[in-house]
Amino acid sequence: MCGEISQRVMTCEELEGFLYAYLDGEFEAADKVEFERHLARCAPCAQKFHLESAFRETLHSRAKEHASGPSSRAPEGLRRSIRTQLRHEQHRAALRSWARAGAAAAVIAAAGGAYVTLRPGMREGYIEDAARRHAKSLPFEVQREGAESLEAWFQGKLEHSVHVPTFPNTSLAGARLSHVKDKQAAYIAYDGLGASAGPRRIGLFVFQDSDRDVPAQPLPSLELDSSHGYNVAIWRDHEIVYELVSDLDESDIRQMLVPSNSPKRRPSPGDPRPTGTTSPPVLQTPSLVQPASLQHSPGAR
Amino acid sequence: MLSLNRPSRMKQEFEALALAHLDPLYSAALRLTKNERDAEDLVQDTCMRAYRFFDKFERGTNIKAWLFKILTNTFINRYRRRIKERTVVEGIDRDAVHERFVSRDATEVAANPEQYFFDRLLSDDVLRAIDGLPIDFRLVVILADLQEFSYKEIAEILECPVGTVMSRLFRGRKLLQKTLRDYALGQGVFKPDESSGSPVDLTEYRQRKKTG
Repeated sequence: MCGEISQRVMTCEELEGFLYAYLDGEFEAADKVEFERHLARCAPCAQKFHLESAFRETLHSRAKEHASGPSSRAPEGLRRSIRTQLRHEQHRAALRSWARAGAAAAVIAAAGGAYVTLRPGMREGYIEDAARRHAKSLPFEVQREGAESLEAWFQGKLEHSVHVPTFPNTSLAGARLSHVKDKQAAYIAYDGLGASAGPRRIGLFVFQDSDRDVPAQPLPSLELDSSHGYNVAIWRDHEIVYELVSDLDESDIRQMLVPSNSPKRRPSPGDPRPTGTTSPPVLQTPSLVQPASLQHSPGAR
Repeated sequence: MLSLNRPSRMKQEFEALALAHLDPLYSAALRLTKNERDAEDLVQDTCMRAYRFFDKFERGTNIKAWLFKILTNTFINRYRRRIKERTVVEGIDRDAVHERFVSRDATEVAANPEQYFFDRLLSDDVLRAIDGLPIDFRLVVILADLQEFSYKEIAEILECPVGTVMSRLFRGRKLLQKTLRDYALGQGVFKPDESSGSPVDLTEYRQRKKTG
């Protein structure tokens, strides 16, 4: 009935199979000729073609109608939350690229190049890592009562000597070697003897930061931040950075580290160093120069 | 050597390129997940994955297709299992649909029944019918008819041969037609259509033409 001309042409079945490809503009010019020749001579196929064409047109015009309507627009809240997440992600990427750049930066500094310390979000990285490690509650490598015996234990294990501070209302629980990001650190754990909620574990990371990678100020200035549900206090004593991780309130941490009413005092080897008492914190590293006001403390060298 | 501002530049570039396609991504996600909350989650996941892999995106190529590839992959891997497939008829207010097919002028219907039928379809009817398609067909119909990607782009997005795209689109559109026709069948606008063709392989056809 249709298509009986000189050469073999497209059959009705083939035409139906090609209908969408033709309508979707996916057909090659050579095939188009065959398709259209068949269509011109075959009424049932032409009818099918017009039906499919009308259907496709309806489909696309309704889709366009819908796309221009408000219900297919991305909600403003979604847009905002994506932008916020992108900011966080970019932040993390910046930290990673700084970590990678670390080795190269050391080379530049050694070569005498001026190495500008532009470290966006560097402190956050150290805070996050300390909180994460503290949360793991890994077993101690040493459990000793006194600060001095812990200091002795750390001797030779780290590049720097470790001063183990004591805090009011806490007792020493134990210690281990650890890291904060790329830096080897001493981890010292204390049990807080808070009257209210039972014993609370407090962790202190002590590490050397000669290059001043970590933005931190000497006490009484104190940077407080939170990560993984912990409050993290960070300060430095010359080249040594301290990070205290706990679930204590900000005011309790300040009171513990920078007691407003008691002057700092320098410890001496002869001093008894009780733990779990209400003595003020003793945080000065013995090897470093002390402020003049502390030179006359009892037992000072 | 030290590209210190790289993350910041990358974020800016990503926002400019990718967030421009947020509306189409969301509207496709709605058709895939069938609810707004999952659609938002899916788009958010898609954007964050795209950002993480943005350095792998070949600059100058089709970013919309690239984003849709991540969207469909994320959907298939993460959401498909937990989102229940709805049946075709569910959720459609059949009476309201039929109302529109009751002709007040019989000659109008007789003259051009299919045109009469199609003209009365609303975008909601079409979208609900698309939502009722099985996922493989729904995916290609969304990509071809709602997003108007080419067969080649769809093949790249779904990582399948163009032939597969053609056959899924053929079946998907036929199913869609059937659903939409069913609304009108009871009203006598259409007689049931027995034709059940299938797409023909173009290469095979060309081969036959040469030898035949």
